[in-house]
Amino acid sequence: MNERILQELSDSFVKLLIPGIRVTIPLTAISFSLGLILALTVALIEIARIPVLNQAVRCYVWIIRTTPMIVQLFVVYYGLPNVGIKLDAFPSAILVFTLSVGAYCSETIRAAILSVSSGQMEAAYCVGMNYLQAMWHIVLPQAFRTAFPPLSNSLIGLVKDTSLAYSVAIVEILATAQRIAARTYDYFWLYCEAGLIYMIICTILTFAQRKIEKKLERTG
Amino acid sequence: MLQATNIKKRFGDNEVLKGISLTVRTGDVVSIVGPSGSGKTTLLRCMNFLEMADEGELNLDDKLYDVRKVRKNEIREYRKKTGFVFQNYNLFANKTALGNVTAGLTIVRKVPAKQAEEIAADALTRVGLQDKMSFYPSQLSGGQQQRVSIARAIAADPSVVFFDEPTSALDPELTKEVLSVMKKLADEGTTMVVVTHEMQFARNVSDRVIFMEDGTVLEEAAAEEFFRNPQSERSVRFLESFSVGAEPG
Ligand SMILES: Nc1ncnc2c1ncn2[C@@H]1O[C@H](COP(=O)(O)OP(=O)(O)O)[C@@H](O)[C@H]1O
Ligand SMILES: [Mg+2]
Repeated sequence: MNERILQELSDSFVKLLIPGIRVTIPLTAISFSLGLILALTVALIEIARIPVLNQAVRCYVWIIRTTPMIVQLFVVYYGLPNVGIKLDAFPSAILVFTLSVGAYCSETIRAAILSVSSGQMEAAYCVGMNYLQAMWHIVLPQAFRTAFPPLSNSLIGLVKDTSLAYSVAIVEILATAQRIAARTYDYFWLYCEAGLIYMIICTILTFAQRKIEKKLERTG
Repeated sequence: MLQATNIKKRFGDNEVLKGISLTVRTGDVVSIVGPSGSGKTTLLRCMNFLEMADEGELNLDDKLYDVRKVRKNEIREYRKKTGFVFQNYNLFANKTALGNVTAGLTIVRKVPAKQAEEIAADALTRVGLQDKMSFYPSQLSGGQQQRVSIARAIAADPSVVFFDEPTSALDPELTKEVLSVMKKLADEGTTMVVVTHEMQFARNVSDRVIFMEDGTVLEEAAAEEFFRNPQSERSVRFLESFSVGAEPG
């Protein structure tokens, strides 16, 4: 590794960090937040076995789990215009990532809710709570503690999956690295550097996860 | 006053309650005793709609509830006027002792937080846990947990409190501390229905005893009367099983 490459890498580091902060992080944050709301809704529908809706959400989960995300991205971004629905790249990516988080995390959340002992629900009923109050104040906070580690893994997985947005012409970290390398031909170093940016983001998230887990352990 | 009339419940082919009737007057302590599997827990659960009876009526404070027609909001109204103490406590694991007691006040009855905390602190003091208010259930002994759950049940000043074998998950030392709290509540005039295997408690604390077997009430009498002079062959044998066994006196 000579000085020229070192210089180039330190110049490009900031150039890669910028799409990381401006694209990857918002893409992840928005998709994950929306996805969690969707996942919770799906989990509650499945647990309450609401007729029709239950079948519908199971069909949705099945489709998402059995098709590659890159195909879903292509269908939404390149395919939907054929049937008259035209979404920009960013909303397309948000839609696909949200649906993915919703499907995978609904399983996590469902299992976590079911792991809370039924006595908790009964005790909540006994003090006069209704179903939603018991869920919201008693069962979900406990389920959250169980679900937190696997949900953190999903979040970290999503950070990395956002690199698929490259395929629908979103200029995120990977696309930026490619553009620079196309000029300098230092593909090896630039792609390694792109990987490094992901490593940094995911490592920070892992530390945050550990901290929060410790805190969750302390209470109760 | 609580009056249950002709409560029937079956699980599939198993007829667990064959038409139970009982009356609990305000201030009374009624113990329900009987062999395991006789339907005591199911009866208690039916009297709080945790289990839906197939047939029967409940009358609480002059409001009649037909178990076949009762609506969800009526059930919630009914439950707000009762307390329930479980065998295995079922304390809210995500809340402190104080939070366990305030939950029913702030969330259900919309009592302002500050006032709810005062009421809860008072209830926890009554069960002798004034210095454990900020502890989580996992940080408390079984006896302390059960006392928190008693505080939770009495905080909103219910018309009747149901206890389902409140001490059977506890060792003798902790059993004593819970029973003494229950005796204190009884002396203070709390209306209680207690399913129990503690014959000393049934005899000394309760006003009346109901002896259940096989889904029916075999005997109902004043407590002292039941123990001194049990009427049926079954109740005699049931009581003998306690005096012969490890149970002291
Ligand atoms: N949820 C249930 N489903 C099916 N059978 C039950 C259920 N709960 C209780 N039973 C049956 O009802 C009978 C009475 O049980 P229970 O009320 O727990 O008696 P006890 O509290 O007097 O020991 C038992 O035969 C038990 O197996
Ligand atoms: Mg029982």
